Amino acid sequence: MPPASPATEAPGPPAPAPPARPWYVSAGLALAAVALLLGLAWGMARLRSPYPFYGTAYPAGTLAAPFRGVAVQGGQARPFAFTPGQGGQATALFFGFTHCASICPLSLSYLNKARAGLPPELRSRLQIVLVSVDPARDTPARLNEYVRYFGTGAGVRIPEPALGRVARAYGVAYEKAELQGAAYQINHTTATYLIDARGRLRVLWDYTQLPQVARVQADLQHVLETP
Amino acid sequence: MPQFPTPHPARLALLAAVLALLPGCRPAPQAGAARPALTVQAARVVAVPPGVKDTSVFGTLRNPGARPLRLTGVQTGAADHAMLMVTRTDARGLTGMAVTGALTVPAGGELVLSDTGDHIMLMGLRAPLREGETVALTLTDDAGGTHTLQAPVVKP
Ligand SMILES: [Cu+2]
Repeated sequence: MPPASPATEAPGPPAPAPPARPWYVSAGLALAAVALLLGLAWGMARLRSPYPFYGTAYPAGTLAAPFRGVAVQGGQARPFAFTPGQGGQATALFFGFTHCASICPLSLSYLNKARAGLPPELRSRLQIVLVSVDPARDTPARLNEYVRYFGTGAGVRIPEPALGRVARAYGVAYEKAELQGAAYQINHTTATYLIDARGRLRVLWDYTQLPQVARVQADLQHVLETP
Repeated sequence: MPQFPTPHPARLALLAAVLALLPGCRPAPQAGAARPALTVQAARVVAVPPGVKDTSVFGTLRNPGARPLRLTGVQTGAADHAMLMVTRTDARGLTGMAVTGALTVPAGGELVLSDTGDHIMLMGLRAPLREGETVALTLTDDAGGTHTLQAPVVKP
């Protein structure tokens, strides 16, 4: 027969007062309450003042524009469709050209360094994409050689007039600039756009910010950890 | 564990060695007291892949002299054209570079050649550059002086 539960045990000597909650349970409950409060406060604070990005943050929910072009993949030039966030990948996207003697190689170099500093599991979730603003001279093969020389990533050729539309969608501008007695250059805006794994534009860095590799890396890490 | 890029010791050593060996500058053949030489620090050519024929030269030029030094030309055997450049960003945010007639190293001061500002551009590289190799460049000033600098090819 199962023992009677104390509640049905009657009549009898008054049961001893239920033992006080052990101290550790009380402490645990108190801690849990504090943690809950802190969590709520943190959540509110996050909603009110977002992560202090080093770069310039986009309003929440800003969708990145998809585009199509051609890029070398698996050793061959193939159609390249950029669908923001596809495959759970975040993307650092910038617009440049391979005849660019100073800003473009350094952008690639800084972005690769920032990515290399990330924990390995985050590193593999960030791709670097260069879209050429000089499709007349930049072939997919040339872009690929360029991008891979400085690290890993995709170099995408989008012919006009599609390129113009993609550029406008990102707020990118470019124009041909003649150099006396030499091949032309292209003047262009120099931002790098970070798109998260859900296809949202999160932050942009101006070129002049990229040399602060550790701070760019912190922005990358935050976006990769909070898609 | 995050790794922050640190300059490779070997590369620094190489750079230091190259700088130590710098022949510096030849004063312009002119009458009067010998002019103090222009000195160069951290001179480097940006390494680019073999198919790319254009690149930049960066570094810090110091002018210990009492008069500003106006550099009006640059030459190298490594490229078809070497040009003095300025970088500009216009009101629309377009950044680009333009050829300039002169770059001035202030008296007792320095001129930083960098990706975001003044620099030297090499167009039409005659042979692919290899990392670690050294490119010789000769700057000319408006008094006819020449200043030779040795810039190692460094991957940024
Ligand atoms: Cu560029």
